[in-house]
Amino acid sequence: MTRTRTILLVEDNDDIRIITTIALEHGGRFEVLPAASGEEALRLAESHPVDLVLLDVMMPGMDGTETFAALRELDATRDTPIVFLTAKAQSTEVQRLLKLGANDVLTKPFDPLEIAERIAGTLDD
Amino acid sequence: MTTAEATMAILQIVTTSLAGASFWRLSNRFHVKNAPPLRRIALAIGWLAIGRIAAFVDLAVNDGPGQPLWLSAFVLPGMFFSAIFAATTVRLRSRTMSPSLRYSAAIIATGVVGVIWHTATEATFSFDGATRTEIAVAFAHLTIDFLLLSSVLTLGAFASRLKGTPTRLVALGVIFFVASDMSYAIESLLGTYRFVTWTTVGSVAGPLLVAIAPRLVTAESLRIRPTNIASDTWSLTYLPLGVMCVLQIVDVRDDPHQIVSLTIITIMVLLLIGRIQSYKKNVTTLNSDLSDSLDVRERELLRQQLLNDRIIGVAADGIVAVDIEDRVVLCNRAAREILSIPSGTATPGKLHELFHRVPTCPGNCATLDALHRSDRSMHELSLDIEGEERVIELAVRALDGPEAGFVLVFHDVTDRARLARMKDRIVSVVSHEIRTPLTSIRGSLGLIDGGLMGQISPEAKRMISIAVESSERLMRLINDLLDVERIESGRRTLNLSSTPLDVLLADAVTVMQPIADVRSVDIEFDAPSEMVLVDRDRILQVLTNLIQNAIKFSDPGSSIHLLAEKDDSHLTVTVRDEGHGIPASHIEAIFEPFHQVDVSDSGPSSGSGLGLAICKEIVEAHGGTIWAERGVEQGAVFRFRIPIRDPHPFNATPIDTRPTSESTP
Repeated sequence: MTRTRTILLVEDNDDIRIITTIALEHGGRFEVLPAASGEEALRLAESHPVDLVLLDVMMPGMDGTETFAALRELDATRDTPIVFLTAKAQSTEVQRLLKLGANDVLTKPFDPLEIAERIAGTLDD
Repeated sequence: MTTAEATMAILQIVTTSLAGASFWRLSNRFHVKNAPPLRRIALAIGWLAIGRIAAFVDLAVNDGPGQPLWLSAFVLPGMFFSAIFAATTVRLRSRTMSPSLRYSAAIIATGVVGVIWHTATEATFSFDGATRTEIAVAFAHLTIDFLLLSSVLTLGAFASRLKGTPTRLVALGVIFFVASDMSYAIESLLGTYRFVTWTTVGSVAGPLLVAIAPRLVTAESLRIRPTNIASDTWSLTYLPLGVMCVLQIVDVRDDPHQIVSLTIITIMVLLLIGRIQSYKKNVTTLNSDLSDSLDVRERELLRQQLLNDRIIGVAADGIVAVDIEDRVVLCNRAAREILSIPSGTATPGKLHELFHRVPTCPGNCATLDALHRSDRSMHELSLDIEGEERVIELAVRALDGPEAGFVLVFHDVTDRARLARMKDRIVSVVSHEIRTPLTSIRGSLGLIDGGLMGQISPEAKRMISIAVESSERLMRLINDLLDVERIESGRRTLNLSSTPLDVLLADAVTVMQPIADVRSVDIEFDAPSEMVLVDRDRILQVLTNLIQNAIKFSDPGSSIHLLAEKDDSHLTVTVRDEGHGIPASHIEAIFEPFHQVDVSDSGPSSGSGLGLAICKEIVEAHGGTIWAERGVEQGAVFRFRIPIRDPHPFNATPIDTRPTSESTP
């Protein structure tokens, strides 16, 4: 863990975005690029190098699944790990997202401190 | 009277009587319905036998072959009716061959020939020593002989059908008899008749053969179809009696003192009247009985039919019946209303025309059969009726028997379906709306708890822990409630698909692995790669619930074992942990909703108490059972068994198009 990793956080809810950002940036391991929508996320992904994308599923406009597909189309994020955040805790939904090609799925509500561990784990794989 | 003459006369009596008795006995061997024609033949031959006795008496008293005319009164009717009844028997054996007209004509001809000879031919031909009556009787004899012969020939034609010697014997016997009788008639007319010649032998041998024949008859060969011969009464009873009367009257006109002939005429007239009376009575009672009983039964049937029609008519459910060629044989009012068939127009003749607006149309019997044989008793179908979506709930039952087909009973559940859909949407939205602020609360508390917001007092940290725990518990409760909701709609829509068993287990383990890792619990599984037909998502839910449950009660460093087995009839899945096990008192109740096992460390891991109840619902929706056991050494064992289904085309593509809750993103 020598360098700071950049996390693109895509979350439409301001509170959750802020809380997650604080939790991830605590300890200096991660730097967070917050995006409030799928569209914004795509713009940021094109202009900034990103180590991992943390992507909410239920969003107005472009939803998580669509954003996921668009990110996979981009050269910059073609192979970037993507972790979903979902409010649907059902195993079937988790299964669906994993099948889609997500590297991990985190269900809401989450322990903000645990999230950092899970992401670190995903990046180390 | 010579000894030879006496012997011959007695032989005649004996053989004729034997023939009569033989037929009488035969008649008793058969069912009463088949007896009358045979009995009549016996009686007719009996009458002939009496004639023979009279001839013997005459021979003894008058000492000569005088053969007075009154003897003909016995002999002629005997022969005559033998012929008639033989014909009846033949007719009864086959309704297709109807000699009615032929026989009526023959009977009339007999009488007419007799009378014509009596009145007309006498002037033309003069027979030495013969009176007009003698001439008439002699020619009547001949005609009757022809009649007898023709009836015997008819019988002969049936010989192949009767398949036996009896008929041939009767035919042979009658031919003998007829031959001797004809020669007698002619010789007596010419005045050359002498008793005890070959003709007399024929009249002895003939009846003897006839007497033997019935003894060879088997029940099999003479099974006469019970048929109503009432319609033949005219040609078989009235006409013969009438003709015989005429002949006898002609006889009496010649000699008014013929006491016997007079008596016979009286008897015949009385018989005729009696017959006509009883026939009339029979016909009247028969008709009134028939019409009465028919009326009552018909009226009852009609009443029942009308009642049934009205019941089907007013039934709130749509009822449609189709035959196996997809033809609509019944469609009640409710069905027409539900399917929006305009009043005044004919009901479509074919099933697919009736349901043509249904996207997944039960248009033919193959579909209906699939629906009928599917596990669910009710099926929801979406209909597009004039642009408006209607939902019907349909039950299909097969009709067996000669009028085979299917009965469809359905009702409109559009409102219910709309409400259910609205509820699903509300549940989905609400759950998202609750989850989002809850995530913020949980997140904020987590940051404070983790010390990211600065140091807090131990008391405050304890309070924060309680708040974290409660927010997590609230979340689980929401998840489980949503699951219950899904199960309820799932009971209507079990979405079966063929899935490899090992993949199913691997998927469940993948989903639960992160949670297991957090608690340092190892998950092992073993499953064959065989295909099973299950609702994949639901069974996955059962598996993850059971694994989650096992993780909850496992100590760090212990393992959870998953084992799936498939035999000919069932799929069995076992989830075993190495935890504290289930208290015996909870083994049964553990699957009830909101049941919690009160164990000392339940605090942090307690859930809503719905997880296992959901598992039970899902397994039972598959027709299976789930139960818990105490582990052999330690831990708990959860096991469920699901019957293996035949992969059925219908089940693989459910017609229910209802979205389940949360399917909207």
